[in-house]
Formats: sequence, C-alpha cells, structure tokens
Amino acid sequence: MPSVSVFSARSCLTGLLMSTVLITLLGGFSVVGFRYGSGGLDRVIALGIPLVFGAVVVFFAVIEPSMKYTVTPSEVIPSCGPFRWRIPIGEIRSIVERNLSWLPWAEGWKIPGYALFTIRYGDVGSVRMCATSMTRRVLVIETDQGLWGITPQDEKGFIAAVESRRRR
Amino acid sequence: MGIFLAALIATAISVGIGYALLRSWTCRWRLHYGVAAASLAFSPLVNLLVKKPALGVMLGRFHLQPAVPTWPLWFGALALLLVGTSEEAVKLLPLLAPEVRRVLRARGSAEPMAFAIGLGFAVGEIWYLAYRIHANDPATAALPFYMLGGFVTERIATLSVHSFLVFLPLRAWQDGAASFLRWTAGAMLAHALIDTTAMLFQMKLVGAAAATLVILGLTFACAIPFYRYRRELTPRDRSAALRKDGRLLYDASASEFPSRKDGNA
Repeated sequence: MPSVSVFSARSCLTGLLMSTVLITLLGGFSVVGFRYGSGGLDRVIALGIPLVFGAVVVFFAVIEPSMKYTVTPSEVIPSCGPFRWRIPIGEIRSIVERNLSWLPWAEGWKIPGYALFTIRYGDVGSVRMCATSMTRRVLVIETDQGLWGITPQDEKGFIAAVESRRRR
Repeated sequence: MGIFLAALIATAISVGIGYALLRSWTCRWRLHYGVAAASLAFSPLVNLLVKKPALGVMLGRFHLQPAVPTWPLWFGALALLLVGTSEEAVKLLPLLAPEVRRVLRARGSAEPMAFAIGLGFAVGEIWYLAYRIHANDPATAALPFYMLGGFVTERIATLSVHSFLVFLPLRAWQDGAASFLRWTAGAMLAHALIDTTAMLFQMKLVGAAAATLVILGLTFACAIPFYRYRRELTPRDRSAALRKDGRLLYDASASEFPSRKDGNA
C-alpha cells in the first residue's frame, strides 16, 4: 500500500442540488425585492442580504467537490477547499458507520448532502464533520479528543488504509 | 372559529418543536412526553380554580372593576404576583411523581424536564385562552385565522418562557431544599416581572411596539439555556452511544476488525 492514500468523498450531488436551490431562492428573493421594492433602501436590502448569503452558499458549493480524505503514515487528513484537519491515527479508538440524529439548531454548515465544521447531534453530541451527508451513513471516527464525521466513497479501502498504518 | 384554527396552528407548531427537541435531547422521551401530557391540564386548572376566584376576592376587597385599564398600579403589581406564584407553583406538580424526582437527580436532566412541563403548560394555556376569547370576545374569535398571527406568535413564544421559569427550580432540585425554595421564589418573581410589560400594555401605559420588543427580547433570553443545552456525555457514554445503533468497522482495542471476522469487509 502506498504511504499516502487519498480517498474522495461520496457523491455530493445532493449537497450541490441543495446549494443550487438555496442560491435560486436567494436570487428569486432578490429579484422580487428589487422589482417591487418601494424605495432605494428596499432595493439595497433586497440585493444586499441575498448577495451576502448567496456568496457564502456559492463558496461552499464551489469547494464541496474538493472534499477528500488523505491517509498519511501517521494521520488522517479530512479536507475541503481551504479547510483541513488532522487526526493522528494513534488516537483513533474506533470507526463506526451510523446514521446521526439531527438537531434543528446546531451550528456548522449543514444542508442535506453537505456537512462541515463542528455540528451537534442529538445522540452522540458534537461531531467535527467533513462529509457529503448530514446524517445518513456517516463514518464516525472516535478519538480521544472527540468525534469526526466523514463519508469516503471507498469505505473498505479507507478502513484498510487506517488499519495498515496502525499496524506499522 | 378563527381563534380555534389559530389555536390549532399554535398547538401543532409547539408540539412539533417539543417532539423534535425532547426526542433528540433525552433517551427517556416517553417519560418526558408523559409529563408534557399531564401538564396540559395545569393552565386551565390554575386559571379556573385559583387565579379567577382569588382575583374576584381581591377585586371585591378593594372595590375595583375587572377591566385592567381601570386598575391602579399597585393592584396591577399584586395581580402579577398572584399570576407568578400560582402558575409557577402548579408547574411543580410533576415533582410529586417519584420517577420525575429520580430523573432530576441526574446532571443535565433539568432542561428536558423543564421543557416538557413548559410545553404541556403552554399548549394547555393556548386552548384555555382560545376558549376565553371565544366566550368573552366573539368579534375577535370570529376573525379569520390569518388575522390572528399575533396570538399564534405570542403563544409559541411563551413556550420558552414557561420552560425557562420552571427550569430555575428544577435545576436547583439537586442542590437541596433550601436552594429549591429560593429558586422557586425567584421563578415566581421573575414570572411577575416578565408579565409586567404585558400588564403595562393592557393598562395602556406602554405602546404595542415597545411591549412587543421587550417580550421578544425576554423570549429569546429565556430560550438561551435550552439553546445551550447538550446532553452531557462522558467519553465512555459517547462511545457506547456511538456503537449502539452503528456498524463497528474498526476497533483499535481489538486485534482484528470485527467486520472482517464476520466476513463483511
């Protein structure tokens, strides 16, 4: 097995679709507000608010396809766009595939098919997510420092890669 | 009929919020739903059996009219204390159940229990108020439901307020009788203070906008403990919760992968 293995995330079509829906809704809100706004301030608000939120959605939609998991001899590195985290393989206690229990108001970037940053779940508490699924079939990595949620396309290959590093 | 449709909408939203939160907050969700169901009766009971007769006696004693705008300020304060003490006292009735007392001994159990009681009380109050409006103000009751958005919003907002107020004594339950009594008194006083703006509005001493702003601010402030709440899991509990419904693919403590043993990998 090579010393560095890279695993892509599971298909991210749902996340991209939801991002597109969000962008369309924000665009629609902006057009309606701009078209029917009664004054200059109305139009500034109608354009400004969706522009800010829309830019955030576009940013996360653009970086989603770059989501991947790199397994080095000593670390698992989930990454997405400019965001990158390091999980020492020696600290991994277990890896469990499970569905997570959604909490409506938990912080983090979470839409169906896309979850990033620390998100609280009703059943297991906070999970640092870098996944193309918000709740379903998430590979949860349990470490001494907390939980990580990932969704590699090739689950078996990922597990085998972690195991081989652990045994070295 | 509009008022009952508005009450139904407020109930559906409150129950939806309560169901989702309690289900995700606690494993003992059946007990919590049971407590919420039992608390449905608290608001009508305290209104019909305590507040209404007591207020009648007080009005007669001081020769005052039932119309709130005619009350002097000192009587308004007295009425607020009556509301605060009676409602906060009745919300503690679930503590009579040994199972509830047992659950409350655990750390981090006050929030879900308080939310369950607050949910039941708030929903009971929705229907009691809808009935009162139907009986005393037929013109308002006959409005279409979409004209009663203020009623719906206010009723949903009280969900967090009622939950917060009962949360104070429930959290103190673990700290002994003295703390519990102190926080119960505090909750009663806080209830009276929170209702002050509504009372001043009814007395036509503050405007609708100011009253709405204050009430909205208080509603959000009261929701903070529930927003911040997370089920407290020790690493051991977290590990057990993680593996409970999941498929263990890798276990560092085992010599071999369980999935491989099973021939699944």
